[in-house]
Amino acid sequence: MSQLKAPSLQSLLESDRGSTDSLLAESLQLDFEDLDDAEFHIPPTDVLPSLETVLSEFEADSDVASEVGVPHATPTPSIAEDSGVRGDGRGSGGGGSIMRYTLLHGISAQLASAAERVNAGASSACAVSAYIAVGTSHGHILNFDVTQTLRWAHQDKHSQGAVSTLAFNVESTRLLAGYARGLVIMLDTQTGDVLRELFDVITPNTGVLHVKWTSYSSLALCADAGGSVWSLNFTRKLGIRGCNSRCLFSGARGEVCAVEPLIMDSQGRHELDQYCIVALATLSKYFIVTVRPRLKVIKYHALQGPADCLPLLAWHLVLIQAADTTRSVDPVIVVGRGNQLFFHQLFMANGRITLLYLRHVQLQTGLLSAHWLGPKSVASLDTSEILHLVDVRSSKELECMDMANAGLVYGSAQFKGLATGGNVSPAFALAGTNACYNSIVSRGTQLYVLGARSLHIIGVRSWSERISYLVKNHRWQEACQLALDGYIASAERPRKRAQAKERIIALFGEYIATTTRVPEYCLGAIIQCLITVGELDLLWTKLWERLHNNSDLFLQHISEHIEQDNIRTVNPVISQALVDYWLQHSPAKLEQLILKLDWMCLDLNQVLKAVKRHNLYRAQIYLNTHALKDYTGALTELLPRLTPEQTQLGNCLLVYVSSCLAGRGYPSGDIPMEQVQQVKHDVLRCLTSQHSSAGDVEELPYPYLRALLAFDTRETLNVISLAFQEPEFNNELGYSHRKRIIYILLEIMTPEKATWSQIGCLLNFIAQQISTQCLPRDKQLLEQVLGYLATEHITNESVRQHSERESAWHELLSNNCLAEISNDMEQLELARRARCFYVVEYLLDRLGRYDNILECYIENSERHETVFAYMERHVSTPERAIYAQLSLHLRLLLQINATEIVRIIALHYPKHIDELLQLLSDSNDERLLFSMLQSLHARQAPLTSEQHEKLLELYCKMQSPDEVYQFLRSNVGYRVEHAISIVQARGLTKAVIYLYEQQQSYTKAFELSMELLREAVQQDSTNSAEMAKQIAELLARAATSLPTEELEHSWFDFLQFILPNQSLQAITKSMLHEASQHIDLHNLVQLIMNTHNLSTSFGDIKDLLMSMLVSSRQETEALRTAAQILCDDLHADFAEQRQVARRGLWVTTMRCVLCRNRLTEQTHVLALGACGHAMHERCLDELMSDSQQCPRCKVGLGTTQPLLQLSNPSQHTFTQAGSLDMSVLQLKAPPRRFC
Amino acid sequence: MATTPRSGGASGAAQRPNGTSQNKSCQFKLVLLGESAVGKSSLVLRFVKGQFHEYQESTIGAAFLTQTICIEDTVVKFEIWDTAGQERYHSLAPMYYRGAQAAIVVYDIQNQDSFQRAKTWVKELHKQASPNIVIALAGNKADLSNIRVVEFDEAKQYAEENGLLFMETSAKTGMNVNDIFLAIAKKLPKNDGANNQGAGAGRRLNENETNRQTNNCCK
Repeated sequence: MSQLKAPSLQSLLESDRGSTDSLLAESLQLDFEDLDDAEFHIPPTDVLPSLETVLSEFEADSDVASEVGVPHATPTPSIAEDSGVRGDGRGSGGGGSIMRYTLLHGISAQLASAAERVNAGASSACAVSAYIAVGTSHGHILNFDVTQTLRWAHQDKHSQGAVSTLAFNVESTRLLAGYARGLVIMLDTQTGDVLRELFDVITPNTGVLHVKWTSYSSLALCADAGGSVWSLNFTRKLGIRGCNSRCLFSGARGEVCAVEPLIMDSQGRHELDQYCIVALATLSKYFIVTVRPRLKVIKYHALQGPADCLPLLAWHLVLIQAADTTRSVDPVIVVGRGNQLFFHQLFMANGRITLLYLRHVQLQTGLLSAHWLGPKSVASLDTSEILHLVDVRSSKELECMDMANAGLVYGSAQFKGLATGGNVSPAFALAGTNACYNSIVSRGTQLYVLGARSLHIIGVRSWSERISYLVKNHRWQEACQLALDGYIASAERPRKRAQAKERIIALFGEYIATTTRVPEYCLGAIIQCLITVGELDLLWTKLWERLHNNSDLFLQHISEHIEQDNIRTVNPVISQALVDYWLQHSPAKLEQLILKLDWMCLDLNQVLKAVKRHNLYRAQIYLNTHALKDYTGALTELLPRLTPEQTQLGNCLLVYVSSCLAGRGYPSGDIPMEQVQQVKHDVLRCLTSQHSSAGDVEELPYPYLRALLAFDTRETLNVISLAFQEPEFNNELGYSHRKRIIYILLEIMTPEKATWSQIGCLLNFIAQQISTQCLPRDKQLLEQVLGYLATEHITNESVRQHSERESAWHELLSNNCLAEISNDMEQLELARRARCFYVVEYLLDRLGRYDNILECYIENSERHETVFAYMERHVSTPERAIYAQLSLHLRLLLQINATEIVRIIALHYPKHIDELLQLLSDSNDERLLFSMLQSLHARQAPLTSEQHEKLLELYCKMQSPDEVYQFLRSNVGYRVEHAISIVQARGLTKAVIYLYEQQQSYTKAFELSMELLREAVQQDSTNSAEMAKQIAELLARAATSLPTEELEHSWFDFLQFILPNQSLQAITKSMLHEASQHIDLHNLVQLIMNTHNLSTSFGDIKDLLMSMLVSSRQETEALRTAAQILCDDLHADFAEQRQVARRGLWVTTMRCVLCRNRLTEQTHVLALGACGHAMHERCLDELMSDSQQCPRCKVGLGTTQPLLQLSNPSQHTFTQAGSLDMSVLQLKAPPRRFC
Repeated sequence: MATTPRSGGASGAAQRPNGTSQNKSCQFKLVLLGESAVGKSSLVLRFVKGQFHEYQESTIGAAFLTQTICIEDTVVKFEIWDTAGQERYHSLAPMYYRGAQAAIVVYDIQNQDSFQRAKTWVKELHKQASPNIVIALAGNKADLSNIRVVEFDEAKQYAEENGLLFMETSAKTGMNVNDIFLAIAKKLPKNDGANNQGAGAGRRLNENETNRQTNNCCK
């Protein structure tokens, strides 16, 4: 998408417009017809000021306007959100400062008086050029110049109705006016003389809607209410003025509502200048056409919108920045309808005029007008008469202003053709309801709005004007923000930036001038402005001077900017004040500021004294190094004061020393290149100097280094080790330096003067240095180090220190540093004694003595957890002898982590489990055996029954009875008999009961349980009820396997115990209920009756009796029902038999189909098929056919079964029949077919 | 459980120049920062030794450890400065991070304050440390993510906004511990220009050093 940018061309064009030179030059290019016209026209000698310049002086009017009641522009909410900065520096949110409203009082007064005195009527149309012309509804035309003076007035003598449209030509020499009844006249703008009266140039009996001058000076366009467009070509042949009118577009082909010729006035600098281009819009389309050199449509687009909205057209020259960074100034047309705005660029490409779509803006409300205000913004009035200023590039609304009080004039009367009898199309009339083509006109960055008796101007303020406006309203905060935004936005354009800077300085001047009474008002914003543009001098001088007494706020703001790194230097005066201020309020903050500031601007005397007094060490070091270039002064001064308690000072010094030795500046930056060597050297020498400058005789040697070491040995050594990485320490000389430092350190850290942990740190450090080849291998040094490393016992040695010792030793060994002074075997012995098992392991590993490595892990509690990883890693290497060591150390390993070791054993040595278990049982350590067995069991490793039983035994020994019980329940690997004996031996009755149950010995289980229960009751145990319930459950489980008598017997035993027992009263009822399911109720009741001491006897047995009754009733009922059913069945059977017996049989032939003998010869046996064939049963039997078919016709005997039971010939039937003494077949029944 | 190579053996082997492989070797200084008890030392211990102690003693001063890892054809040796998290050692941190090529800022995902503290560390590093420093943010104790306070997405977003590497780690389970060091090693510039000794570039072990080491090994 191309970007729209402000052309400088526009301003150039405008400035040229008033000059006579350009007028002359332009007149020379005129057509011949116009030339003589120009001959007679002598340009005015007095150069008129341009309208904009004059009108912008009316600023004061805006105040009046507010009194009149026209509101100021108010920012829309969208502006507050839109913080985007626009290219030309007009800031983000308008804040009501973008649009400038002015009421033209002079003109408005004249309009009012004209209406009153000469009955001119209300205003109806206006045009603006170098003059302002206003037409009225009674045909008057008033022409004003820029000073709002009435130059002339013209009154129509032909009763042509209202002035419907007015137009000045480009040079402002001619004014065209159209009337509501079709007259077009041309006037001289200077004198008001009528030059041409054109009665018949448009469609007869229609009014004029638009007259427009084109870019050709003798050509104008006129649109009428019939929707036609006419070209008016003015001629002056032989001194006689004439006009040729030609219809360009007929209203019959689409009624044209809007006409907008492109007038570029770029004096031949644009390719399009040779054409006369016009934009036209109907209610459904818009066209771009060339009228000259010949009429041709360039492009047309459909234009949708509501029926009561007119299309809107406006041209403007805009700087287009294409995507390929080519720039061009091309005309851009904005086409609006409804709530849409479309932007199109018109340009020449390959000799053709091309229209290119640029963008589309959707607004909230319907539009009445759309006009360019400058090349970047479009002003559009919506249907509720609110004026919106829309930024084209961002499509955002910048500001809006309510224009309802302006009394806007609408041209709907002309569109409806009221003056000519309303002969317009309904669509046109409807669309014309909101027409205000001729009452809102734009020129440059100003919009003229014509009210019935007033004329208003809406201007767009430039960035600078907006600042002035805000300043005038004392909105300093916004003014500063706007100024800054503009300055920042102009970053890439130096000329603009310089202008912006100037404006900000001017703003500052205004600020100084106007806010003398409240000097602290909006101080922060103005300071920010000055700092951003870099005008610090003004800050230090003018602003500072004004604030002589109450400078706190100023200083706070300045400090803030220093902290944010916006400024690094301040005026010395300010710096003094700043230091004083923060010394009083917060010395810590002062330190921060000093570190950020350039030392050059500080009063060193003052600051140095202050930092020393307030112990601002970092600032002191900073000043010493940067200002005094003294890198050791701070050390010699501060180090003697260092005690181990002063963490801050100590840390600060350590960081400083480290920075210096690494060639870095403190607290940031780098030491200048040429000084680095010197600084490093100086600092190192200072640190390692044997005596301080002011040291007395008793001073210990190396006081500085000693102080640091005393403060924090470890960190000091870290500093040194960091320093050793610098290139200075990495050559031959460097190594000797290193060596010297190490010896100094050893000299300082003697056991008398330092604690063991400090010495440990040092020796660790040395070991580390040696092993990384940072130190030459000195035998004496090595021996000293080894001596420490191999110390057998150090008091208060923490685990960490020990592990550091180990790793240092390990480092030395792995780098072969100790080879010169002792061999591995000696080392091994030393390490064993010093309990450095990490080292021992390493040595053993190196010596290949793998058989003892596990011991190192076991001995070192820190590494217990890693032993298993080690074992796993080497389990497959036979020479590591893992198994041997494992079996050797099994007991310790089990103690460390039984789960892990068992995991390894089960995974890698499943065959050795028995062996290992045996080993453990031999050693008689039951606890370990137990933990191993338990882990094995938990891993579900395959164990023998004996092992299970062993585990059970151990469980019995080690764990609570409950655990044992749980174990038994979760395990099945043991043999029950053995388990019983083990458990019994331990007297774990509960477990025994469980086992008995497992064994199906319910009786034994029951008896045991009963015993338990009795004991529990005797001891008044609380859980006796629970136990009773368990017994009930047990008995319930036993129901399936125990014989009934035994079960009942058990239940009786149980109940006999429970019922009389007071303590078990609570559960008696449920027990009885439970028992009633298993034993005879009769006996149960008997039992209850016999039981003594049943206090709530009836209550308890009531349920039982009830259930007995219920069950007996049920049984009786069941019996009765069964008898009934039996009877019914019998009856039904009999009825059926009877029916069958009574049914007639139809036999086709009286002979047996098989033997052909008469059927009656053997009357006692007959067989009949469904087909009607009959046979002797004996014959059928002889046939030996199993098939259920009639042997004659093969019809299935079974197919008709539902119809007649006889289909399956039944002997039974006939036996019955026989028994009924039916010797002859009854053939009386009517024949039936069965099918 | 991730096991890492012992620092001693691996580095020596990789630097041997007589091999045919064209292995480059780089040395980087790495610093761990973060509030106390977020697990800096545990993280390093897990990375360097593969160990984890439930009750790690708090670090005094700064501890120095080295670990060597291989990525692609480069042997990267980390010189790790594990700083103390306690308040009194904070002002010492510049000593370690000013010359460092990489930093791991650690916080505890169960502790919002430690996350805020990590943010201030990041800010300080951006301001004071070498501009090319590679910063990684590690949300430690990820094994306890069911009682987390700092959400993963929150930290992830912060890391993205500030151009940090980010992982949630657990020194206890070893999750992401090696990964975060690997990610740092990958991001560090491994230019082998010997003359480029800028703060951002890793220190190439010079020929001199390598030779001596070789001699020692052959003894």
